[in-house]
Amino acid sequence: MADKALGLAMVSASVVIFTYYTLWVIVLHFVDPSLQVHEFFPDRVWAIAIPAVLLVLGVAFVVAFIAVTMIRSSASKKKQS
Amino acid sequence: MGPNKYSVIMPTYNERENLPLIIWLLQDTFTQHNIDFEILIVDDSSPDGTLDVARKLQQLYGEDAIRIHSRPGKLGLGSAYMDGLERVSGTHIILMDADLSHHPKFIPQFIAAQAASGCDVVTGTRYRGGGGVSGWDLRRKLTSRGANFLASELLRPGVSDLTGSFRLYRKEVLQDVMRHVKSKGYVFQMEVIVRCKCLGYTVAEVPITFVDRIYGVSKLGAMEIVSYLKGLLWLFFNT
Repeated sequence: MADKALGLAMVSASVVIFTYYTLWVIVLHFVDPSLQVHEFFPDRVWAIAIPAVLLVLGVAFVVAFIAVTMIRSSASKKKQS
Repeated sequence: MGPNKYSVIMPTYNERENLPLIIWLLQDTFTQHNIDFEILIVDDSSPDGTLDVARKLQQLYGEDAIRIHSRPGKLGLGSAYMDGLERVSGTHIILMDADLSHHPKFIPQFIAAQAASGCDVVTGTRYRGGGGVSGWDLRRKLTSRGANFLASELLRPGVSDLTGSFRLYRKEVLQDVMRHVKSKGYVFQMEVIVRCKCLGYTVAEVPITFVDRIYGVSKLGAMEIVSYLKGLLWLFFNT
């Protein structure tokens, strides 16, 4: 049951993020700049910066994981022989 | 009973405890549904005496129902299937795990699906229509889903569960596909399905429940993940 709850939380979070991001990048562009709505969203630069940083960190993590695993694996093979 | 005969090829390695149960479940399912069958146990010289258990089961159920092929050592799943294919007399082949993670009760559903659609392969899926997994924690489930998602995106196989190993094939289809398959391990199951698609065979899916390891412990280490990724990349460039 805890799994279902966690799964639901993950899906909800992704819906929220998707909606917010869509509003931010697409909808807000067509909204009158003087309206108060714009205060809920940071400067549009961050709409590119944040995903870019996350992507770099993500790729770095994957590469580091593969590298560390392969190094540990060949180190233990050397110990065995 | 129709003209079809279903041969189960079951590679075993250290399945002494599970073998009597799985064999009983299989023959019970087949007899209840009036299905002509045989089970070929391919044992790779298991040190725990699986072969002795197999021989006793053969005495119990008869040599028509249980056949045995003993091999001198751990020679791999792919070669077990190939050796098995040479020794069976059925029109259809069922491949499944011997460790009770696949329940034979789904086999009549596989057979019905194949008969209804006339397809070449039926594969059990954990990710569609009521299929699922029992005994995995959230981390393992996420890993499996992630792996399948990645494989689906890269390979576009047309099935929802690429790494599953509970399948029914028409015999000629499996023989043809096995001639083209080169990989081992997790990747092997994926390559078989991808090759089926490449060679133009039709695949149907039936939801199944996968039960993880009633006896013994199943683990997924970092090295297996990396091997999987390497295998996936190989498949991407070679199929």
